[in-house]
Amino acid sequence: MSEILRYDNVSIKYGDSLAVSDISFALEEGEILGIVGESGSGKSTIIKAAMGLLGEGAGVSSGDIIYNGKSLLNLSNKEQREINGPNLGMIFQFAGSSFCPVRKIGSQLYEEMKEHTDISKEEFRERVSELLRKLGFDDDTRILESYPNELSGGMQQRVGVVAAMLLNPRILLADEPTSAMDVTIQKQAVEEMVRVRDTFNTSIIIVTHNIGVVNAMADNVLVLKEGKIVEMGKTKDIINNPKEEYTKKLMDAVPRLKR
Amino acid sequence: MDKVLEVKKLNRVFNKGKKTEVYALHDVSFDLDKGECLGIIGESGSGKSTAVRIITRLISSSSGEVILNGQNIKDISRKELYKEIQMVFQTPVESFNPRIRIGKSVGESLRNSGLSKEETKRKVETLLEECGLSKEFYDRFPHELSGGQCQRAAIARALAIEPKILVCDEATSSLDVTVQKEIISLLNSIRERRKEDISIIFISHDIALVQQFCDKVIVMNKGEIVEMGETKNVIVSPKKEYTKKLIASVL
Repeated sequence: MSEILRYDNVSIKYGDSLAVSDISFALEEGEILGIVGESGSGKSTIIKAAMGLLGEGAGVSSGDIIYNGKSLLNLSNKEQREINGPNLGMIFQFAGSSFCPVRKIGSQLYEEMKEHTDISKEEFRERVSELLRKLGFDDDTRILESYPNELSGGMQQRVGVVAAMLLNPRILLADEPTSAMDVTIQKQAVEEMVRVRDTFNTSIIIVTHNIGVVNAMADNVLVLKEGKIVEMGKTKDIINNPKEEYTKKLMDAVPRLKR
Repeated sequence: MDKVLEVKKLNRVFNKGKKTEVYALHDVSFDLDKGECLGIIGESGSGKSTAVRIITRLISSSSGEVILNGQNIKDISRKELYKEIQMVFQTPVESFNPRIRIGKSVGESLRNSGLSKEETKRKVETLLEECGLSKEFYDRFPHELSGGQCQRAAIARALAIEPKILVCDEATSSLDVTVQKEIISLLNSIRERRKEDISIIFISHDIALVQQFCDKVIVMNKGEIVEMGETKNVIVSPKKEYTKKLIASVL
């Protein structure tokens, strides 16, 4: 496996306040990394920095984010647009509401594709059908002809994964993709992301406060508290034998089902 | 044990279009004993919240009865009802009036019941303390509290009038696991102190949490009760296919 994304001593500020300090980690090809921590610990900030989504007045104050040997900092809008999509894909917490409600799914996916590649409608149709089939949807026509509200929450989230995967990015950044979901739907979304990794060898960073989700899909996990890394390592080690007090407390607070 | 609440054949029908009827609740019946903690689990849209909203008269039922201490809730005034039943909601910060200080919000029901200003203040401070908040929170506004602190205040507010039933609708779902644990231990300590004087209906989609906290559990799907019983039996050895599927999907 080779390294695809690296954070080198990254600190991120919102105005004058330090949100994330001195974060370093590396992501391998085909690796699933979970980032866990409480609200306000800086989980989302970390992945937003790579996508250039931190917004006005916020930014990386020191350190560097390296994608494929190239720094992701100080990119022009145009350069960032070339990276986002074909290289870095993102899945949001509410996939349903990240689609336009009054247009069909198919036309929105086509628009996304057209923005990045010169592709005819027929070629698009072929490619999206193939992707949908690979990801286990059996009725691709129905999905493309649907409005977002005609799909269930689980389907919306799965289509969100499809939208991110359409340009075949090498890294998928998922920000709380399962938090608004019931357990049954949550399971579908997790399986979908694992299927993406197994099919395309995509690397995934998943930000969540759900330890169960991390346990079910991540190879490695990073525990974050107040913008600092508390502990990092293989998922089963961190979850079963946490070394730091904070991780122990966090794991201890997770209700576990006794079957 | 004595029953504090009996729910009999509750139905709630919504009309979708002119002819199709949707049953949000279909023949839901259950009892709540004194001092008992009853969990309700099920997916979104299964009717969990609709059931408790009818019990608390936030919405009305299409048919069926809710009997509280032997009296139909339709025969008592809302004011009387809310002396017996109080609710804690999912979004702690939004459930407070943003322009009113926490202390005043918590004490509102006491003032309405005729307590003097001084007495109310004393009682509210004790209540806040019982819920793990120091006196200084009395004069704060909701936005000056964290989500967990606000939920503690919401529990204090619900307990102020000393209700017999506390309804928690996803009361910990928007909180971090560490804060969730604190709220659960707060609820446990309240149960220990008040014993038979407080029964809890606890709605959650976190099955592991319900297993930890509740004596009995109801599993709902599409407006109907699928399975009901002691938590330890239902979750460890479910009988119905749906319950099995639901429990199997917990990660």
